[in-house]
Amino acid sequence: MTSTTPLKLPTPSTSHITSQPVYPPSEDSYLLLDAFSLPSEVAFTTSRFPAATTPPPLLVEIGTGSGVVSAFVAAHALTLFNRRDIITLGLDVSFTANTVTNTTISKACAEHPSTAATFLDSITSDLTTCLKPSCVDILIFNPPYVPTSEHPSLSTLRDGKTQQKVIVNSKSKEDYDMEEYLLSLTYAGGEKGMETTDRLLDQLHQVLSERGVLYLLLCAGNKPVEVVERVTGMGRGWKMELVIERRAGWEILSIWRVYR
Amino acid sequence: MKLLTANFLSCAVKACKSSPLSFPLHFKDAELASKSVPYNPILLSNLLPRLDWPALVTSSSELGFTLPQQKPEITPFTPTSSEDGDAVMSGAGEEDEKTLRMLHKVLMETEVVEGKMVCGSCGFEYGIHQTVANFLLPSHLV
Repeated sequence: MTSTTPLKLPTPSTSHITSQPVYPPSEDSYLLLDAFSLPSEVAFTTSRFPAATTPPPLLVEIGTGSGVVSAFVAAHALTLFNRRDIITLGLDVSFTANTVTNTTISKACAEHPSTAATFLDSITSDLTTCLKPSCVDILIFNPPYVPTSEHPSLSTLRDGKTQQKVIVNSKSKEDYDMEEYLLSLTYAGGEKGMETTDRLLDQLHQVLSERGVLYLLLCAGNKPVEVVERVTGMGRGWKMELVIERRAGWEILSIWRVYR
Repeated sequence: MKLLTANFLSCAVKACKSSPLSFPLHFKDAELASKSVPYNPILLSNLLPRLDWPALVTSSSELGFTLPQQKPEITPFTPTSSEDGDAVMSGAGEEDEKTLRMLHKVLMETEVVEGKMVCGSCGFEYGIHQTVANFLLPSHLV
């Protein structure tokens, strides 16, 4: 096997998701699974977080959606990171996504008890604002990256009471509007599709530990070359390297690792 | 929300991040449940060095558990596998095993189903509903 062929590991089941308004596992999600399954990436993470000699890494995913990416890396932790003593958290602005993610990850880990990490919780949060500074070792972000003329505001979620219930089948006009709004949050990235990603990059130095690595998904419309310039321009040894790239329909998607 | 998770959270208000009072957040009106989680002594003993122990003692006492004031010293061990594939502690003393079982029960299996977490700096209350804590701030606090 060459280092460009991803390991073949089972994809977590998301069959419990019926009509909840969460981002369904898609090409971008699967590209993240492939990125972590590349033998070259397994080599990178296992040398950066050596088992037995370094403390357990905290793995956090922002915008878990269906939970499929976190479920995959958590369930196959021993294979992907050569250690099971990893703790994971999922963050999403949507309460519905968080309850769905709890199920996806718990099921996947229960199916792979001998390789699974320990999943702690899903938390409703705007990016990483709920976290204690400098504690994340592996951060995963599949952002709303599609360039759009308007960028949906989080104020409906911040100031509304609707977050208290899991939306399954839209019944009222209110439910339907909420569903449409939640789905727009999953993809609409505003100018260059970078408005949310830019906010995360601003927080990065406060969020990642010294050994921390961000895995970031971009599309061609995000102008990855400009993002690399921006990251290296942050100084303090920050770098951004391509992990994997793939054409998906009309999009070219890529996964990058950002670390110092 | 698991008790252990509180060790990684602090107030989402920007001005609070630098305040020592914003960590740990304080549990209030917590309804607890016990949820079975696979016992992983290797994780627990390796995790101890990176935990903020005083914060854990505070969080635990707010939920009715008493942890020792000093972080337990667990003897290093070599991991081996039992027949059913579960990690077991080889060479871990009986005392260490007792401590790890206790930590597992308190940190991993104690779940806050409903309740609040309060910031000691600004007083903001974060709700916990169906085990999911809500850290989205209202617009006027962003």
